[in-house]
Formats: sequence, structure tokens, C-alpha cells
Amino acid sequence: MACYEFEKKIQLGGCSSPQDNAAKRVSEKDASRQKKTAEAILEQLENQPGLILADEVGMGKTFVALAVAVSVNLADARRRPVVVMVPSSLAAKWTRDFSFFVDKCLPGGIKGKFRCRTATNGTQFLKLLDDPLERRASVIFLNHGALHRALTDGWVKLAIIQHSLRYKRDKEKIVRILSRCCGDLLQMNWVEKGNKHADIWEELLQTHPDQWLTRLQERRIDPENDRSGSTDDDPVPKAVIKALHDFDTTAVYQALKKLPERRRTDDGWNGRVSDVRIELKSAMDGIWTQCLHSDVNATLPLLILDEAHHLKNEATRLAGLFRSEDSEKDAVAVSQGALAGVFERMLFLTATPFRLGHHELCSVLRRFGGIDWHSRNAPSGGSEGFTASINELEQKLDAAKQATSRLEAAWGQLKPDDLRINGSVTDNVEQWWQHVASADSPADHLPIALEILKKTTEADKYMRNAEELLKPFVIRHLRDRTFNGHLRRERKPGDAILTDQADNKDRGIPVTGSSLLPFLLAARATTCQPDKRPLFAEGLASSWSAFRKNQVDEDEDANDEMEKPAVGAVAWYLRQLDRSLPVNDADGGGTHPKVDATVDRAIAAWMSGEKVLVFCHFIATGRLLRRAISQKMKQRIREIAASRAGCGLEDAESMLQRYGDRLSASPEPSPARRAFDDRITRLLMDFPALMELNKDTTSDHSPAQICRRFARTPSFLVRYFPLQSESLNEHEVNQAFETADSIISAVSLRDSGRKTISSRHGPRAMVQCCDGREFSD
Amino acid sequence: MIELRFNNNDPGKPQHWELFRENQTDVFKSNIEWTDAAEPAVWTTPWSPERPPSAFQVRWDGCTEPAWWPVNVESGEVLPLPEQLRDLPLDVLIQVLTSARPLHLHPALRNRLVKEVKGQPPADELDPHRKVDTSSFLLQRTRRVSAALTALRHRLERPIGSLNGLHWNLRGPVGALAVANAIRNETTGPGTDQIIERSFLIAELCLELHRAKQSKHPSGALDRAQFDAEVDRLIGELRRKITDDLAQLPAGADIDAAYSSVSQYVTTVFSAIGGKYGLL
Repeated sequence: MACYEFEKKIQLGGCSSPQDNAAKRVSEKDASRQKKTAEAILEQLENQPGLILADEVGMGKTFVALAVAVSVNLADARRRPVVVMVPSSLAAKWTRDFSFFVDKCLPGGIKGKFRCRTATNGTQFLKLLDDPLERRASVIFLNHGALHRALTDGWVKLAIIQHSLRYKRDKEKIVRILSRCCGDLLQMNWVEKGNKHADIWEELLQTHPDQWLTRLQERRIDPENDRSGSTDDDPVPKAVIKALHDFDTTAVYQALKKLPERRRTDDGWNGRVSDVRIELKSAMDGIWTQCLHSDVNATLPLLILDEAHHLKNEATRLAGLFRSEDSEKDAVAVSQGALAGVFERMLFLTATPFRLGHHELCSVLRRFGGIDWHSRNAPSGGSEGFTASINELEQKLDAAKQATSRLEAAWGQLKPDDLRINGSVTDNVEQWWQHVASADSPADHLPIALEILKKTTEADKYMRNAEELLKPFVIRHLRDRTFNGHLRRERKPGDAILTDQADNKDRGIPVTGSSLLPFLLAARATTCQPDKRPLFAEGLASSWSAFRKNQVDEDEDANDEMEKPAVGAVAWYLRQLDRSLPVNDADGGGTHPKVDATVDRAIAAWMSGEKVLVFCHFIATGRLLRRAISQKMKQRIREIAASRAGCGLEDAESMLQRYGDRLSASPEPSPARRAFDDRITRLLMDFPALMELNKDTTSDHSPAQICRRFARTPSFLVRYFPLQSESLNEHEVNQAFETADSIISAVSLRDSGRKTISSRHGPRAMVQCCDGREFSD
Repeated sequence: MIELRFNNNDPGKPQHWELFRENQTDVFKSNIEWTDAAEPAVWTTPWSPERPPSAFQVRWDGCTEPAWWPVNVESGEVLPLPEQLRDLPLDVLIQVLTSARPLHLHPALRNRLVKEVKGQPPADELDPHRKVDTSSFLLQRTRRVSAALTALRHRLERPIGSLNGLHWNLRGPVGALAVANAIRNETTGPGTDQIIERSFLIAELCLELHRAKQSKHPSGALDRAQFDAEVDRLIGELRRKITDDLAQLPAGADIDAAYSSVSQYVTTVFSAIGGKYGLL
């Protein structure tokens, strides 16, 4: 029976002395918050099937979850493993974080009790579940999708073959044939180690799979073929052995019977082996389904599911795993609920519990209905009580949403003339609202103000009601919205990229001038084929390049599927669309509203010394932007250089080259170079770890060389050097070091910034940050 | 104009007579004006009210009850439209054209204010997607107009039995010309983008009319040559509107590029149609 109490030996801030700040994992404030969160989760799990931890990214969800996992595992009398389902892309990170957690957050006395294992497929998962206590993992990381993949393991296939031969008169004959070809059949020739263990198949086919590990170990055969004794496990999971008892393998037997005694290609050997493989695959699918649906019957104390927002769509296969007859009577067949009733509690992790509406959140919460409601420590309300509570929550959330919509509608009726304080019109909305809300003399207010006040009170009441019910199921911490006094994130949608002004109207970038025709043609083409995806979704709204790329892909798909090419009106519009698009939109021959706006914005930010990160949905748009921004940047560099130095555009590049050469390595360093080295050396003294990285200042990888290389790039020279003398001199170098926001000054960031860079990313990353090659192109 | 016909050869014609409008007591015309006009056999008199009368009432010497003098309409085309069908906005036209209901039963025509009502989402709407009105976005707008153009073509491709029927489909209140006018009204304004958009859409209307011409001629329908001639006449008119519109574009580098792209497309459209509507 699991116990839901926080394990007090866990130190989320790190098990170091209070003075050893360097060994701290996170700040004390964050560690305290994470500990409180883990405690709250465990407290809630005592009386409910599950909850969602929906902290924003970077708040430490992983470590809170590991603290919960370790607490549950340690308190479980049978030390049953906690299962953490993770996206395969994050599996390695979770394993690393687990090691880090054990190393930093657990005291020496209990560190050795915890080990984690990863399962990427169903066989591995089943094997880990039946491990004896001394080998058992405390935490199993199971990749998302692992349980949807059928069994492919060779040992399981061998067990099926063995089962198919039970009580058969010609068993001995078939075993003899198999002993000569099993390695090929199962694609496990490595087991035989040449001819050294040629008889292994016969021996295994005569032995119960329970004993296979012993037999293999006696012959020093590594069942996992990973050259590691520590991972050795029973080749066939107990769940499979159990499932085989009632499994019909007649088709496999029939295929085996057809194998010829001698291996000769002229009697259809390959075809018959292939037939056996097909039957084996079919049998494996069946066994796997049976294992999942009936044989994963040992309950496990806790499931932690990372990236749980995938469950908000009930149609996803992942969500299907947790459906059970009890929790989703009206929606899901019980056959889909393979994991229903396996876990005693669930903890879901997601930074985005819902995007569109609270129905998505409720859909995720309903997954908790798939816990084992029959265990001794199941929540007292039972499945019915849980379902009723989620239904009630959904109703309250609906009511709250409706109330806020009514408030929004009432607020939408407000006109500037309605904002009155003591009869006088004001444009200060905040002040007006305070006046209305204080409601000393409601009779003085206009009817519209009273209506809004009423709707506000009503919305507030409904929201509080919903919050009360929601609280037990969702824990969410938000990051501070400001950093060093500045807003951490400012959202400026649509056309704000042009104006930098966000007026909350969510207007898109206008499509004007010569860009208009392609969009009009695309719209026309779309109406000619209403059953197909709109062409604008195919990249046209992103860039001409993305659109063209998608068209090519679509044509190829059409060929694959033997579809007819576009004819009639559709073909007309596609032809006209093709003609109307610029041949190469990076060359400025034609412009795309979004590409132009992005390029201009990126260049403006670059000019003011900022770094810009552009996310693109289409790779083709990304490539185009890289080219377009690079071209524009080179053009600006030439213009600025020419303007500062008073030379022509054609001479700008050679002038910049001359300036940069003054910083290059040479037997006789220039005064500018000496001044630069001096300033850099002084700056780097603040970063001993960086200096340790490469003490040889002449090496290409030394921080000083990297900084110098970076400073020589045209983009750096034009932004930070005055470029007003004939060639770079000592005075200009010193001026560059004083210029605000320069990359070099980033090295000499003030204390807080410096700590952030060096401690969070390490010196190597910092050097990479300073590496001119990252930015020069 | 109202044309009154008299038989001057009838010896028993009354000397004094008076003409009244329907349900009115004021004299509209009398023998005095007719005599002043030299008693013509066909007397044409201007008609100022919008709708022509179904008939006049006539009184003359010795009659006890007024007589009913019906007005025959020679061509339905020249009848002004009822108020409710005049200058239908594009939204209503789209709804009517894409609907299978008979015109007089269409709810959109009963409520010309449909557009204003549509602006407000219902207060209890919880789906955030539905709360955003994208109907005025360029692509959505073009798709809506496209739907109307397609529906219009489908109507023209059905058997049309008479010239009047064809006129109704081409120049009636929910016909091609009405759609063209609605497009012009919706994209009104001297801005480059509006001119480009409406030139494009009207060119598309011409293309759809041409496609209707190319479709299989249904049996029992109006003579093919008559059909083509009427459609061509309208395409020619619309073509002139496009030319006039594009001529309004001001000069400028970006405008030149925009003008070039759309005029090239319009030229391509009319080349495809047959090239007999004059160069841009």
C-alpha cells in the first residue's frame, strides 16, 4: 500500500551545506516552492485519483515530480516502481535529471536505493515489471508510444514457437530443423557466436522460458546483446508467458511444419521462412494485445505523465490507453483501456493545460478515472464520486465562462461618453472604474455602468465558485512577469510587427500592392476544390517559397496516390498563381508581406544591438528569411560603413577589411590590436573558468582569440566602432568597449547578468556565445 | 415614359375625359392637355413615380362608373426593381445565390439588416474560434465572393427558357450585374488595393460567365446564339468597368508593380475568354 507523504530526507535545493552556494541546485526560494508543491501534490493524492502540475516552463516540474516519485516509491512496502511516461525526445533528459536528483537531492544514506530504467518498447516494460526486488527499478521511464508498438523481441518469438510445438507429435523433427535455422529465422545469429553454441536453440526449445536466463548465463550468452551483465533480465516477460497459456498458435505451427528439412534455395526455403515470420508477427500482435488488456494486472503506485496536454484530444491513442469502462462508459470501448486500473494514482505534467477552452482541461482530468478503483487505498469517493466532481467542475467552469462572456458583451457596449465621474467625461478608464466600483452612490452612475458593475460581480462570483472546485486538481505556478524591472514577455500580434504598437485588435499584416494578386488567386483556387485543404494553409501566408515547396510536395503526393493532376478551373488558377509569384523572393524581385515585415523587424533589432530569434513553421520560409536577412544586413553594413567613413558603397567592404586586419594576429601587433588585447584580458579576468578553458592565447579556441575574431566581423565593426579615421586606432578600440550593448560588453555584464550566463550555461557555452562565427554570417 | 394610344378615327369618342392614377382622385391627364398636344394618336407622357401603374381609371362625359385602362409592360427589363430588391448587398446576394429557396421565400431578403445583426456574437458563445469574425479578411472575403460567382454560373448553366429569364439571371436583382455592382460597392474607394481587388473580382465574374457559355447547352433552352450574345454583351460592359477602374490607379513605383500584375492577369483572362473585348 502506498503512502502519500513527502520524504523529508529529500533536499530539493541540494544536499550541501548552507554555505556552499556553488553546490546549490536552485535558489532557496525556488527550492522551498518546489518542496511545498511536492508536499501539496502528495497531500492531494491521498484523497483523489490524480492531479495536474501545470507550472510554467522552467519552474522545476521535473524535480517536483521526481520528489513525488521517490517519496511514493520509498513509502511503498513492496517498492513497486513509479512509471514516468515521457516523450522519446525527452527520455535522455529525464534519465539525466534523475541521476542529478539522486546525486544532489538525496542524502548518502538512501542514494543507493534508487535506480531508474528506461523502456522503449512493450517487452522491455513488461520485463522491468517482473524484476525481483534486488534488481527492480524505482522509476521506469517509459517512452510515449512504447505501448502502442507491438512486440518484436526475438526471445518472445522463440517462446511462441515453443508454445506452438507443445504436445505435437512431430515436435522433435521440427525442433531439429529449427536448430539449424532459428538464428536466421529470428534474426538472432549473434546468439550462436559462430558455431560455438549451434545447439542453443534446441536446448532452449526444450526448456521452459523461466529457465532461459540461467541457461544463457551458463553459456555466457548476453540475452540483451548489450555486453552488460547489469542489464541481464529474463528474456521473456512473465506476462507473456502467462498470456501464452491460452493463446492459439496453430497458425505458427502450420507454418513451421512446412519448413523443409534441408536448407536449399531451390525448394522455396526463403518463401517458407518468410511465411513463418509472417505468422510469428501476427501471433506477436495478438500476444501483445492480450498482455496489455489482461496481463498487466499488477497495480503500480503512481503514473507520472509528462507532456500530458496530448491527452486533451480524446481521439489521441495516448488518451485511449487510459480510458476504462468505468470512467468513459459513454465514449470508449473497454478494449482501448489497456492501462485502465493499472495505476493507483496519476500525476500529469504540462505547461499548457489547455489552449482553447476549459473543456480540454476537463478532458485531461477525466483520464484520472482510469486508476485502480479497487485497491485498498483508492480514493474514498470512488469512481462515481470522481466523475460527479469533474462534471460539477465542468458545469461551474461553463457558468464562469458564460458570466465572463456576458461581462465582455456588456463592456463592449461602453462608449467614451459613458465614462463619467460626477457627471464629467473622463478618458481615464482605471479611475472611472474605481469610481464605479466604489459605488458610494450607485444612483449617480449611468445605467450602462451599473450593468457592467452587476456583470462584474456576477462573473467574479462564478469564477470563485469554479476556482474552489478546480484547486484540488491543478497546481500552477507562474514565473515573474518581469525581469530586472522589464516585462519578461510582451505579446505584439499581427501588424504590430510593423508599427511596434499593440492595440489588442489582433489585426494581421495587410496584404497590399503586388502581393494582393497571388492571395486573390489562391482564394479562388481554393473555392474550386472545397474538399481540399486551403492553399493559404499550404504556406502562401508564410512565404512564396513555402507555398512553392508545398505545391511540389503535393504534386509528388498526387503522383504517389495516382491522383489526377489539377484540371479545369483549378489548373487555371494554379498556373496563374505560379506566374504571379516572383521567381526568387529573396532577390527583392517581389515581396511578401510577412517576409518583408520580419526582415525589417530583424534588421531594426540587429541595428540596436539585439539578438533576434525567428521561429518559422515552414523550413522553406526559414531558409528564405536567413538569406533575406543576411542580404539586408550586408547591404546595411555597406551603407553604414560608407556613410561613417565617407567613402562610396563599392569601397566599403575593402575599408572594413582594412579595419579588421588591424586586429588580426601578426608578428608585430598594431597599437589597436594591443589595446584590444589589453581590454579583453582585463574583462576575462572576471571569468576564471573561461580563462581556464584555454590558457594559450594564441590558440584559435582561446577566449581572447574568439573575441578578437568576433570583433573583426563587419557586422560588429559597423555597430560598435566609429570608423572615422583612416584605419583602426587605439582610441577607436577604447570607444568600442564603451559602446552600450556591445557583444564585448556582454562579457563584462554586471554581476547579476554575469552569474546568470556563467552558472546556467557554463563557460563553454559562453565562449560559443562570444564566438564570432555564430554571428558573422 | 407612359405611352397612351388613341383611336382618332372613332366617331363616338368622348369629347371630355379625365385620367386618374390608381386609387387617386387628382386628375393625372385630361383631354385639355391632349388637345394642346395636337391630339396625337400616340401620346407619350413622362412618368415620374418609380413604379408604373397597373392601370389608369378613366372618366368621360356621360359615364356613371370609371373605366379600367390597363397598362401593358412591353419589357420586364425596364421595370424598376421593388425597393427590397434594389442594390442588394453582397452578403445577401451570396446567401440568395447559394440557396435553393425561391427568391420571395428567402429570409435574407426579408431582413436586409442581416449584416448589422451578424456583427455581435451571442453572449453565451464559448467557442473562441466562433468569437472571431473573419468574414472581412481578404481571403475569407474572396472566398465568399467566389461562392457567389460559382452559384451564379450554376444558375446560368441550368436550362433558361426565355430571353426574359436570361435577362433576369444577367441583369436582374440577383443577377450577374447585381453581383458586379455589389462587388464595386463593397470594395469602394480610390485606394490601390480596392481597385485591384474589384478589378480582379469583376474579371473573375467575366470568367465565370464565359465558363457558363462553354458548358453543355441544355436541350429545350434558349437559342445558343442568343444566350452567347447576351452574355458577351454583359462581359463587354463589365470589361469597360474594369478598364475605367484601373485607369484610376495613381502613379507610383509600388502601384506600377501592382497595376502591372493585375492588368496582366486581366489581359490573360480576356484573352482566354476570346480577346474580342478590346485591349486594356
